[in-house]
Amino acid sequence: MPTWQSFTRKPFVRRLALGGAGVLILGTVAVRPAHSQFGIDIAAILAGLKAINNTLTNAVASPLKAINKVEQQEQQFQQNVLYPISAINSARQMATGFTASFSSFRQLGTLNISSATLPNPQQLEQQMLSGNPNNIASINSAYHNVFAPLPAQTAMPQSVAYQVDMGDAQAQDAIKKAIELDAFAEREMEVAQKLNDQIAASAPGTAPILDAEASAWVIQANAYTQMGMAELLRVNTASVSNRSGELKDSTTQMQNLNQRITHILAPPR
Amino acid sequence: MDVEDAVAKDATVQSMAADQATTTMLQTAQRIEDEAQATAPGTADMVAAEARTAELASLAMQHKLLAYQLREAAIELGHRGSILKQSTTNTQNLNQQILNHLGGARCQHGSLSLASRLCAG
Repeated sequence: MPTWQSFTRKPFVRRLALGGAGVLILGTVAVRPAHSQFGIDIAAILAGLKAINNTLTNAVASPLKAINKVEQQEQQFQQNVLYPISAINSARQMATGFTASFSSFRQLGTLNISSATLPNPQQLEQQMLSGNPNNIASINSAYHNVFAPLPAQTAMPQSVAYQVDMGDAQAQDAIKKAIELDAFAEREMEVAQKLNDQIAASAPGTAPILDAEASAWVIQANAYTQMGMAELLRVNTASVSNRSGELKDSTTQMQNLNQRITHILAPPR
Repeated sequence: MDVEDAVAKDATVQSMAADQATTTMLQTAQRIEDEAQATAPGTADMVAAEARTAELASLAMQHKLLAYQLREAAIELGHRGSILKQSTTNTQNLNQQILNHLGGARCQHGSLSLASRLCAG
């Protein structure tokens, strides 16, 4: 008989073995987790950290990666499609190329083209072409030096005097408006050149601001155009009225002449 | 007459300058159109701003021409007025000369002479 069989047959040894096994099982099953020095459950913390790590990995890191990818794609889209550097440089070069054109426009607008030869016409011409609104006040005398002042009211029929006076007034108004338009044109040329220079140095994002500013100036310029055309209409109207007035005056003079001839030919009483 | 000639010459010179400006403006428009066809969506605003700026310059040139039209119309009106003034002066002179020949005197109301009848007419 083997030795171990002889031991198991002994009651004492058998009880001892069973008791030891029970203690071992209880120790394994019912043992409480170990605690640290300050009573913190390290295992629980570790488990929590692990759960947090898993959560961060699944719920945050992945979306962040996706966001980052989208941002990179957007940046590439902006650089390659919306705002390619080649297109920006090309637009700037175009603006730079127009600088000479705008300078040419301004030079064409400031050509000295005076051609009157006599002193009074020279004075009137210089003031008309000056583009300086400060000269408007002296247009009246320069105009009358050339076109003669209004004769005395007794020297001509009243209707003719009115007609001549109104014609002179309209003509002077038109000359003054022409001086204003020249001044506006010079200012507009200056602004156009300045805006062009700004576009040549601008970023695509600031271009709409410059566009808006230029649009405001264009609207203003259109208003000046309308103002000038209205003045031109008035001058032409005055000219047409003058022709009509001449016909009326001619008719009246003819009637007067007939009466005078009749009066002369009639025998004295 | 001198100022009319001058204004006519000035306007002629300005019209030649305007022709040159028109040529330049057409080239500018063509360049902008070419740029618009090749530009990117984001830089189209730059091209649009440039076009608006060129439009402003074009309007400025129109204002210069409109000013010349106004000056010409004003000078024409002034010329017509001066003809009337000159005509009045000539008529006065003629009347005076006729009176001098006929009666040797200025108009006198109450006289029955031929000259006074002319004055009273």
